[in-house]
Amino acid sequence: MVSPEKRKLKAFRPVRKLPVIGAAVFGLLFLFIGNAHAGNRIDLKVDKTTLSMGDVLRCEVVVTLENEDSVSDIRQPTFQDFKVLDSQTGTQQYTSIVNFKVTSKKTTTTTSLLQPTKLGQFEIGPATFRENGQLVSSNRVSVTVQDLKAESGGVFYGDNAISAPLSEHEQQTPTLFLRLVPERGELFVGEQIAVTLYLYSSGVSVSRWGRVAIPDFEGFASESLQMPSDGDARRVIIDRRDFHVEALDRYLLTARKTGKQTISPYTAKILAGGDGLFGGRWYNRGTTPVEISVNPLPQKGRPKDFAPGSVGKFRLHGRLDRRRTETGQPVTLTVILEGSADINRVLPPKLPPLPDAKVYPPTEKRENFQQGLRLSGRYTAEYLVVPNRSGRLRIPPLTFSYYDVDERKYKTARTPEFSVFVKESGASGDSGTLLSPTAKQDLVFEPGSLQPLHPRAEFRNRGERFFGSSVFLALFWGPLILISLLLFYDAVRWLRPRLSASGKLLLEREIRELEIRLSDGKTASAEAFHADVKRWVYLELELRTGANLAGSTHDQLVEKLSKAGISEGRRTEAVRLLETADFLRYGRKDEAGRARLVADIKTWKEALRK
Amino acid sequence: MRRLFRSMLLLSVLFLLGFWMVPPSPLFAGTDDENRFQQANELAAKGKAERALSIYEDLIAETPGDPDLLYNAGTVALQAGRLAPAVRYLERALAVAPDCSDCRANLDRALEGQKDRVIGEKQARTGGSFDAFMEKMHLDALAVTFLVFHLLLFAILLLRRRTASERTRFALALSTGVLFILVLAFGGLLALKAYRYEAARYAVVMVEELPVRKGPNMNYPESFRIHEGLKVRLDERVEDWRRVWLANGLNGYVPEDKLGEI
Repeated sequence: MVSPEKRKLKAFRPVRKLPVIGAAVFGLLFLFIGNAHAGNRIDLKVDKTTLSMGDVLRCEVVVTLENEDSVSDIRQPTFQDFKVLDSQTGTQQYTSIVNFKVTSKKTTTTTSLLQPTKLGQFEIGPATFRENGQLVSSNRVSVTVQDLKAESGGVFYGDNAISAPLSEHEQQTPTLFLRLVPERGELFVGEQIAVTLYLYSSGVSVSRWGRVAIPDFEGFASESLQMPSDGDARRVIIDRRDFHVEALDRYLLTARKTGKQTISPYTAKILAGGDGLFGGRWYNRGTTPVEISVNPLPQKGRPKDFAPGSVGKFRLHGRLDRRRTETGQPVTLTVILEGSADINRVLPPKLPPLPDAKVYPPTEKRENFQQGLRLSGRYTAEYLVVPNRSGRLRIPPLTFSYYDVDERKYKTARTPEFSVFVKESGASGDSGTLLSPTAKQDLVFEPGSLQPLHPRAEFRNRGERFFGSSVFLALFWGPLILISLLLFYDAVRWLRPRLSASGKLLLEREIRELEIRLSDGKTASAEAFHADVKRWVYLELELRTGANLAGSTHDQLVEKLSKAGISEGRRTEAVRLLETADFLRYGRKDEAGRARLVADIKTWKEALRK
Repeated sequence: MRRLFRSMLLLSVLFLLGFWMVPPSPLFAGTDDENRFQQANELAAKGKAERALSIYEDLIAETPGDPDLLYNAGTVALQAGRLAPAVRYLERALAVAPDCSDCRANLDRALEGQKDRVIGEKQARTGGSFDAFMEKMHLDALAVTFLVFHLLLFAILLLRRRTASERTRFALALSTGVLFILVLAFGGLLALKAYRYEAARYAVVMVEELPVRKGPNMNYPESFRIHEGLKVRLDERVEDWRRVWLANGLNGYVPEDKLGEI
């Protein structure tokens, strides 16, 4: 016979097991997910694939091992036609526990700095290792080493300029100088170009820098670009001298005037030569003026609606919120123009007036954002179009013409043509305006045409919300306060015994310290000895009785001790000890008496504690 | 001693709660107010609407949420041919007493004299069923529901402190969890309703004609013009300028002192 309680328990058993089964299913699932990837691999990476003779190539071989025991014979690639300037290896090990499974991953990165020794196209790699006897290879990388290409007048631009030979001006301070490097020496009016200020240092440590004079960039619209957060530094070799080159500042210029434009020197002060935080000296350095040719845009093929400033790559989108409406009911046309240009300097397309609809001035928004070394922007316009005639409303495509600098030709972007089916509205279809001012009627009312005045008033504020009222706040905060007070009360109850226990510990510690001091005879003056002895006796008594005895006369002390249940013998002894201490205080110095008193206190204490 | 301390604590909390919960003493209209009200009604009946309006306005300054005062003020403003205050007071009367049919009728009459016809009115929010639900929900209904769960939660917490039986404690803990979730859910809905859906504030154009500009100063071009008595939704404030929205989405900036907030 099974009791009803047991039957109930049996009925609950599968339900009780549900969490366990669920956890097991999830565990297995995670176990499979966790085991889904595993393996050893080797990768080869370079920081650039085209470089000049002065550039330094950074090559990384990354070996990732999850099962190290099966791997042997790791080989770095042979860097033929490159001189290895430096090579460093770093190892990182990760151990993770996922779903109770311990996984260990070791990553070894070998970084080599390579200097090309001749011009041409070279292949680097592969790096290899053997895994259970099988050869595993990395990818190969093709690198082109080309000669520096100077533009007209023997001037270098872009990456070529970074490893270009030192100018006469730079040769005057060959260990520390500045160089302003434009991306190109020639561009079209309206086109964007980035110019970067580089600091070259050779054998000199640089700790800080500051701007002294920024070029006025005449003929250009300039915008300061954000520098990468992890810095932009490289190593180059010019005339066999090793330079650390660091980008300090960068501007985006948009050409406004045609012809030869000269960028005046950029001057900066540099703190160099110290040992990091201290020392060093400030040096003033300036760049040489840089010339840039700005060409006019070609006349051939220029669309009629082309507006100056529309240079770059653009996309135009259009969107209509609905395709069916009634007369008088607006549709919203959203036009978005995106492009690689400062959108504030671009003239966006406008929706022309429509014969069958009223078009309201658009709500416009312009935003620019930096994308790499370029400024891109987005222009959004929302037009409210209110049809005033039933039938099919045609919204013609909007067009935007621009000069595509990459393809070197004019292009026209356009939105699609939209068609809206407009049906006659019974109510306000005749207006065609969102806000239709009508002739104002005079407010003249015949007697009785208005509802009559109310004869009585309650003089009571109505419409006050319950939410936010004092009753609501009281009912909301009241329970919270009540619970907080109860929690506080609980906390006090919990803390009190613990605090009193810690008080006892403190008393005992102080007694021990007094005992040691008095036993060692470290208390030199009679005053101090008297004070220490009295404190010791009082503390002992306070510890035993839990009462506050401070400031009590001998009679009061006896009375308090009697109330606390201390026997008469102990009370009398306590008083005797205190009187002896008083005697020693005012009598002549008596070392033996002091030692006797300390010994007596110890005996009394032991007896008291028993 | 402990019991006494507990009782004292509980009593003091209850006293504080009671003190807080007691609503401010009701506003008893003195006979003076009633006399002034009757005087204003008599003046209005004699056709002296302006003087009547001035008395109503004094009374409204003292009791700004009385629908009868607001209604009468709006109606006499209408009789005096003053559209903007008429619309403003009648709108305010409807805001505090949405079921006031007289207010609705006279407001409709007032709006007949309003010069602007806003065409293509659409709901400000057309976000879907959740928005529709939130629009329909009454703020105070949500507040009461929230408070019921809130108080229940704390009552159960208190009960759990006094309960010794493990089984009952477990059941109470379970209830606490459920109630906590309900309190969070209704608290969230209440906050949404109060601070998003009911945060809209409206005003009436108080001058005969008001140019609405694209930006918050006189240098911005004019977008359109609105006229006396038009109800607009208030948006951001930029110095002395306010962005206003019409019911159909038209918007722009106007000087704030040309508006009368409802």
